[in-house]
Amino acid sequence: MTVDSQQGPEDITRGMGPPDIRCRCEGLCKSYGRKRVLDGCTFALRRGEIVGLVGENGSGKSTLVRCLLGFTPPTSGRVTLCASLGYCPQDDLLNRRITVEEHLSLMRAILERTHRMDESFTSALLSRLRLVPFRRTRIGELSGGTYQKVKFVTSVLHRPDLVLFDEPCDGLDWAMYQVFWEIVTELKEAGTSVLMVSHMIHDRSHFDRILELREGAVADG
Amino acid sequence: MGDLPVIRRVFVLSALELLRNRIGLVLFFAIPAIFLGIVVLTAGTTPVPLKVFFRDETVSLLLSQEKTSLVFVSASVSGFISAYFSLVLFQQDFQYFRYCVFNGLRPTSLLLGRFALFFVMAVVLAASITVALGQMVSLQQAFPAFIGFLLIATVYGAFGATAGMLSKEFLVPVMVSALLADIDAAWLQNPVYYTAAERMEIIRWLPAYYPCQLIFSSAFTDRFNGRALLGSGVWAGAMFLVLLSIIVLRMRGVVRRSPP
Repeated sequence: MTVDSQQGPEDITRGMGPPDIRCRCEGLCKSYGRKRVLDGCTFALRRGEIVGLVGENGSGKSTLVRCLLGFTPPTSGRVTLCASLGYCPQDDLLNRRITVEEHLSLMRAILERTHRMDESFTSALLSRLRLVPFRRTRIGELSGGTYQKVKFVTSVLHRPDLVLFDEPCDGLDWAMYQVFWEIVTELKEAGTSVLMVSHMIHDRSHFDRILELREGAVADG
Repeated sequence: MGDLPVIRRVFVLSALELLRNRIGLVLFFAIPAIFLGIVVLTAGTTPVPLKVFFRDETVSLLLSQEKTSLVFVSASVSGFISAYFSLVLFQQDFQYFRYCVFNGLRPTSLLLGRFALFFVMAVVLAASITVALGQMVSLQQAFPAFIGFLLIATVYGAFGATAGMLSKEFLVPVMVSALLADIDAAWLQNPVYYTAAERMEIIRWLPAYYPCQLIFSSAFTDRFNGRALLGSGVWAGAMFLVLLSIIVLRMRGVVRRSPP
């Protein structure tokens, strides 16, 4: 799907680009008033690659992710996505008054309209991330780390082609952090591409590439 | 159109959300009990003059202060409670539902599930108020009075949800809804106040005017007030359209980019 902000929102097409390119971002700019947060970001994400997005606080990492997802319209530039998406947001946006099971069953009902859902994959995720005892717990009563795991499960439930993680490991203990990376690595081997906003130094060893946001532009490191 | 299993699931989850909102449940019982209780404890039995406006004539009645106050307080209480619940329903987890839409939930499924619950909530509220009021006041026409309570709940519910959609904070729209309910339903639509008012023009243009007239004419006369019913319906429809437009505007970016 493509949005070219100079040509307007009608210009959306699907499935553009070479087959192994999952996401292409060309000259993406985003300004809030006079403040230019993104200044011509250009990069591509290939099938089965894990890319880290790093940068100082306030450098525009979350803005870039939100522009890629279409939550925030770019001021100019072009985003081409040729993939089904998963998104693990940094924000605390899950419904706090429903249980983990109720949330996941709603998500499954929504996702199975467009994806082939595998019940055993969901069960395995819950089991590996030790979420089974929390199935009937209201989301608002979960600890920070468990809440984070629910967001992670939600983003990969349908095994999307491309997942965007915005600081997904905040609050995870070391054991869960390792399980997280095991799952992400398995997804990568199955062809999923990952773009991950991260500040954690340990994450860097898992990245195939690192994109650094500096003064609004992306440097491929 | 959205698909039925997902609409049903959205409806059930929304209902669970409301039932798990302890403050909401306390308000649902406490506000009518406190307000009606205070009327019972303080209002006198002295007759007060009251005007009810029909399309072709104005009917003047002489009713006890207690009777008049019970009916009018019930109307304002319905408006405020409905505004609070719809605020909870539409504003509190709006980001979550945007996220669901991003993941593939059809906005129509979301809106149908949410609006169906909103309507059920308004029906339950109006029925409860009508039944409770019926124990204290002999209602001349109970069903049209119920429709009046339903319409004031709908108008104020849509207003509360609209105020919620325009603000990220929860407290601000609660205050705005309480303020409008206070000025309109709880003050200017008070029959004791408006019957002696010099200028009715401003009072007639407020959202609670027609539903209140429908409630008063149904409670105290045996005449059907078609004009009040029509006016209430127009207000309810207009408020719903405004609410729907704002929801659609806030969903637009997400809907356009939901995954293939």
